[in-house]
Amino acid sequence: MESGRTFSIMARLMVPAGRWMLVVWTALIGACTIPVAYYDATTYRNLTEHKAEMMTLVEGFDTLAYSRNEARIDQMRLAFRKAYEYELGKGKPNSDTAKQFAVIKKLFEQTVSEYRETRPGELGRKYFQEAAVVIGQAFDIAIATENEKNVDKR
Amino acid sequence: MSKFSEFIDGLKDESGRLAKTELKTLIVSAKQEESDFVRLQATNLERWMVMLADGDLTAKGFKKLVRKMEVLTELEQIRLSVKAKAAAQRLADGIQTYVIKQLFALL
Repeated sequence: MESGRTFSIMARLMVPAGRWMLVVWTALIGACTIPVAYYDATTYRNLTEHKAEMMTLVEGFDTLAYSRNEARIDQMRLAFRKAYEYELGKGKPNSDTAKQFAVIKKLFEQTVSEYRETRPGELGRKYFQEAAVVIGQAFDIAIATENEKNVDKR
Repeated sequence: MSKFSEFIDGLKDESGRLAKTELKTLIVSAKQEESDFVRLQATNLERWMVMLADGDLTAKGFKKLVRKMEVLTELEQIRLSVKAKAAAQRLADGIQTYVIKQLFALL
């Protein structure tokens, strides 16, 4: 009889206790979660389009003189700068993706410097073909990053 | 024997600076890793060594390409960080939807 009464009191206490546990648990998880931007179709499109354009441009560095590519390099630089500014505009939750854009931008600029500052063939007759492969792989990682983000269902 | 192995074995290294066997083992084992990223890096390195042996890359070009691998590692680290954050976000969103909105209503 006594044990049955004790059980009944405990059962009634379990509901509010369980509720408080969930509140505390939720608060803890909320406090630990770092905000991360949701998947963005514009970012995905920018990455895939710029990947194709940048790889095609850099592949041509093995055979074309710098002076013949200068205008296209400037166009590429501007287009990618616009995409980078778009990522920066999304603020802190998007800082990881913005950082990836910054890294790719630096990789491109470094490759253009190598193109401008070396004699034809100095780095190898297929050097820029391989530099383009690395740029493509860099974009692939950024594309995979975007694909791994959650879709905003709100 | 692969062209890559032949190239490593054929390198003149009288001072014994290069651990040839370890280098070959590193590439072979990395190519069998589960991680796509690790396999990709190993494949890049092997291909560039063969290109160096064939004269498609100069030593200067080869060194520059290898340094570019660090950029890929930096990007991969960011990807892994975003993946972890997205998992935490899914959990937090799930708690909000299924626990706070739905389960709480039943308690």
